Parts: sequence; structure tokens; C-alpha cells
Amino acid sequence: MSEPLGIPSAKEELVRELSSRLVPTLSIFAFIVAVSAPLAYFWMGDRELRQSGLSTAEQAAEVLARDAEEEPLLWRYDSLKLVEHLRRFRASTYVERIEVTDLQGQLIDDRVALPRPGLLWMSAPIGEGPRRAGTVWVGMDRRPLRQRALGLLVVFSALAIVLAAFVHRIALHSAARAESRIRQLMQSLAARTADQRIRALRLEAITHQEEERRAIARDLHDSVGQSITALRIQAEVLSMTLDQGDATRTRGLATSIAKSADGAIDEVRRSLARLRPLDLDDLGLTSAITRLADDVRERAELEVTCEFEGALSGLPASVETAAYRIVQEALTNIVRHAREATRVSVRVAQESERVCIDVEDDGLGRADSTPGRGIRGMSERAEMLGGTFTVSDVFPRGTLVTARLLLEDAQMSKAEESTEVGT
Amino acid sequence: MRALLWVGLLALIAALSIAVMERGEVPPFMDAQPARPRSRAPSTDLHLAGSGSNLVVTRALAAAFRLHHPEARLVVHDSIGSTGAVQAVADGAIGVGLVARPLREEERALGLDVTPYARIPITFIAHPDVRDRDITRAELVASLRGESAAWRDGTPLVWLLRERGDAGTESVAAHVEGFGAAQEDALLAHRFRVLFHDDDMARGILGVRGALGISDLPAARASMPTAPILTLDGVAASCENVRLGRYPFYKELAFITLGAPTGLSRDFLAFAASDAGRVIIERAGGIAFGVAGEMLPAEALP
Repeated sequence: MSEPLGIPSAKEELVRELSSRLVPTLSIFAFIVAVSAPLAYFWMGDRELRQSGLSTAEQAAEVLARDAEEEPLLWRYDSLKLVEHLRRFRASTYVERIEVTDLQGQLIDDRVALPRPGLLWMSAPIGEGPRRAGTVWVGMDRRPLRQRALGLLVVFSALAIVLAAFVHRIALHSAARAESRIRQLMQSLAARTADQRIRALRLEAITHQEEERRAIARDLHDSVGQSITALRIQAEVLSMTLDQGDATRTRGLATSIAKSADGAIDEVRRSLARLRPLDLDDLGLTSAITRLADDVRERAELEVTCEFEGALSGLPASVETAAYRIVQEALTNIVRHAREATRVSVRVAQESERVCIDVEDDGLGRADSTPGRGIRGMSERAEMLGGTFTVSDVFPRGTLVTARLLLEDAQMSKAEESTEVGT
Repeated sequence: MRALLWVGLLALIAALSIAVMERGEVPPFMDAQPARPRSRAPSTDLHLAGSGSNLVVTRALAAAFRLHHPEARLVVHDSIGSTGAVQAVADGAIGVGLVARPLREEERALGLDVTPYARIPITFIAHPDVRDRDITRAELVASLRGESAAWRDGTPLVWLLRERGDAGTESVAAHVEGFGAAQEDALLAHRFRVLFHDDDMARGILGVRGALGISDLPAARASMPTAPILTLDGVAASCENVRLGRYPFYKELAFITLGAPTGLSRDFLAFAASDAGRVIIERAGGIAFGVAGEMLPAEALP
């Protein structure tokens, strides 16, 4: 089923929710992936570079310290060839400059240009304590190391983004699959629950049906049977009276027989009405409901309006009966419980797959009150047909009873019943 | 998109942290460098210093000069190299510099006066236990390259090198094909130990089994009397062979002064160029030059 435009689907909402939760974590993850290796590379390279520079400085300082001790005045000139040699054959490619200064910080070899700024300088003293003669300075060029570290940073940043996107995609995909599976399971569970509920309702309906049959049988035995027995006795007495030629008594007996027959007919009609509203067969659903409304209007002095939409003809009998009974029970509840109600509207509409029933009043009834037998009966009738039933408050006052009866379920039930009858 | 912004921001922070990581200490000479004060030796003393190749000869000359001029105070310092000698004379730190190589172009611009006084043979000298007495040019190059790393009796051959720019090594490189390149490779590869002073060379030759080094004849005789001086392709490293042109490896020794020599310097240089001085030079293992700086025949000596 497609979602309306502009309204996010559950999946989209799930993706958005997961994304909002994943982004900070994945960002940290990506940052660690992007930065750790280049920083470690730079840190280790820098450490090695410093060590190399310090080692070079210390070796040169050791040689020069001996010279300075032997030649306190001229050691500085002897250092020139050592420095020249070290400059030419430096121990590390990172070593860019080697310089020697005296105790005043003056360069021993001032024949060359000053070093460029930005070098990393490592130093070692020439001699110790009072015999210190100067300092050896080794200038290290960290640019190649820094460039390689930044290159690694670019590569690992790209790798981190790809990894984060991959993990993000995998996580969302897995979550969507899990959500889809859960939804399937919930639908399956709901269907199973609904099926069990329908079975229970059908069992209850059969029980009610048996109770109704026993009640009707009892009624027929106690009332109609007694009336017919009385008619038979009255008919025998009438026969004897005819033999006696007593016209007055005969007329009285005939009248009594007619009354008894009327009573029996009424009893039969009441019994039939308990099986199925007679007005449905006599008048049809809309007229039967209109009659219900008329009765309520007369009995309770309420303004009752009825509205019908759709054909509302050719409906399954179960749907017609359920719709009629629900409207009937709703109106009864309004008369009984909706205090200060003045208006009632009844709407029955047939749509392609269902029949919709809305009964609304403006009384002071409470939708959240404990449902009584009538409410439960209406709900069961709706659920029996695979539909829904709700009672809700209406602002500012009033109560709305809604029922949705599915035509497809009703037709299937009808078919099942036909099959059962056939077998 | 937001994730990309996050990653980009954090990566930028990391890049900045790499860029601004601690730079270490800053040397004092990175600030404006004031002119170096020139130190001048006391005028009553004559300080001589320079290449170690000069020291044996110069010390012999100084000792003899003191006999003729007992009032004179001459101090011959230990080796500071030819480069150091040039700088020290230019600074006025010493009166006479001792060099064993021609001055470089930038050094000639310092206004130095150069007085060549002797030529000394360069020798190939080995550890006292080495039995070989001759070495060829090809063996020199091959051993320096590490291709032939043993003496003929199987003892490992260990080169003791001098620093780049050493006059003796440069003289050998000029006359042995492939030697200069092989030495450069060896230095770059740090294949052999490098020594910076003649006395270090003497200690190395005497102390390292299988050692082979380059020195000069006066130093070899004075400092390493037990070490064998090898002949090269059968030619001995002697003054006679140098004088006759049979042995091409030698150094030319010279005195340098800041401007024309004066006073005690002038007297000392004059003594070195005198007959007495030339005899001392020849006895020390050098070939004395004439007054005009020419190489004199042996019979010209008194």
C-alpha cells in the first residue's frame, strides 16, 4: 500500500531515527580510523627523527669535546672539517643542517648562510660543566614526514568515510530487515489472535443461539402451546354450543376464540422477532432503521435524524441484522444513559468493502465508562464480521458510536455456513 | 552529509595538530647574528696550527728555531686541519697556519699569504701484523668498494678513512681511477670508520687488526714506526721516488699568514726556507722547497 505524499512511512521514520543515533557514533569511529594511523605515523616518525638528530649531535659533540679539551683555544677551527664532513655525509636524510656554537651562542662556521626557519633543532653540549665549550646543533627537516602524514590522513579519511558509509548502510539495512520481519510476525500474530477471537465469538454465538432456541421453545410451549390448547378447548365447547343452538353463547365463544388466536399470533410474532427483526424483511434496512428512529423520537422526545449513503441493498443478512441491532442498541443506550441529550444523528453508509455506522448524540454519557452488556454485544457483532467497534467522546459534549462491518467476511461466513448446511 | 562534515572537521583538527606539533628549541643563531669577535694572539708569541701533516715537520723546525732564537715563544698546536688553519689565520687567532692542500677559491679571497715549503709522500700504511708489503691500485679500489675485503693471508681488510676533503685522500683519488667514487660510496654507505685527525689514524692503524689507512711519510715514521708502509704497484712511498716522479702521491705543505709575514712569523718562515731548515725538513721525511718554492734535488742540500 503506498503512503500519501508528504507523510513519512514507518520505514523512513526508522531510517531517520537510526541515522540520527548512528551519525555521532560513526563520526567518532570515522575520526578514529582517519586520524589514528597518520598521527601514530607522524608521532613515531617524529620520535625517530628526534632520536636521529640527537644521536648525530651527541656523536659530534663527543668528538668536539675531546678537541676542546686538548685545544681550548683552537678547537673551534678544528670543528670545521668535522662539521663539513657531517654535512656532506649526514646520517639521516632528515638532517638538513649541522651547526656548532661556542658558549656565547656564536656560530663557529659563519661562512655559510643561516639556516631557514622551521627546522626541528636537536642539540648536545660540547663538554660538561665548567669544561663545556659550546653546543652542537642538528637541524631536522620534518616537511617530508609531515607531508607523508598528511597524505596518510587524506587516504585514511577517505577510507574512514567509506567504512562509515558502509557500516551505516549495513546497520540501516539490517534494522529495516528486522523491522520488516517484526511487522510480519506481528501481523501473523494479530491474524492468529483475530482468528482465535472469531472462533470464540462464534462459539459464544452458537451458545447464544442455543439459548435463544430453548427460550423460543419454552415460549412456544408455555404461551403459544397454551393458547392453541385453549383454542382447541374453546373450539370443542363451541361445537357443543352449536348443537344446543345457543346463538348468544356461540357468538361469545367465537369472539373468545378469535382473541385467543390473536394472542397466539402475537406470541408467534414476538418469537419470530427474537430470531430476526421482522421489519428487516418487511421494510428493508433503511426503513427499519428509520422506524427505530421514529420510535425513539416519539418515546424519548429526541430530535433524531437518519442519513443513508450507498445502495444498502443486497447486503448479507448477517450484516443487515448486525447493523440494525447495533443502531437499535445504540439508540437504546442513548435513551437510557445519555443525560440531557437533545439530538441524535444516525448515519449508515455502504462502501465498497464495508458498511459504516455512526450514531452520535449530544448527551452527557461517558465513552470511557465500563462497557455494559449492550456495548459488548455491539462490539461482538462487529468483530464477528471482521469489523471494528468504538465508542468515543465528542467535543464539547456527546458520544459517538462507530462500527465498521466488513462485507467480505460476512460473505465468507455465509459461504461457510452454506457449505456446512450442504454437508 | 552531516557525517561528512563531522569527519572533515575532525580531520582538519588532526591536520592542524600535525602541522603545529612542537618544534623543539630554537638555536641562538637563528636570531640576528652579530659579527664574530676576532681573537688575536699576543704579539710576542707565535702560534702555529693547521693540518696534522705539517706537525712533524713544523715541530722539528720550531724546536730548531728555538735553539737559534731562545727568546722566541713558538707554540705548535695540535691538528686543526687546513680549513681550520685558514679560518684561524683569517681570524687572527694564530700567526702562522699550516695547510696541506691548495687554498680554495673562497679562501684565496681572505688575503692570505701562502708560502709552500715542502712536499711529503703519502703512504698506504697497514696494521703491524699485516704481512702484505705491496698493494695495487685495483686492490685499493676493490677493497674500498667492499669487493675484496681481506689481505692475502685471509685477514679481514679494514679501511680507516679520512674525512672528505682530506688532502692525502684527494691526492690518491686524483691518481687512482675509481678511487674517489669508491670512497664517496663508502662514506655515503658508512661502510668504514671515518677518522678526523692524524693521531686518530695512528691509533687506528696500530689498534685495529687488518687496518689499512692513508697517512703521510713523516707521520708514519714518527707515530707508527712498527706499521708497514706498503709499496704501491711495487713503488715505495719515498722522497726519492717522489722527487723522481715515480711515486705520484704526495702533499704540498705551506705556511699561510694574514698578509705578508712580519716579525717572528717572517723569521720563522725564513728559517724554514734556509739550508738548516731544509735539512730538518728532509730529515723529518719531507722534500724541502727552495726559496722560490721549487723542489730541490737531493744533492742541492748541504
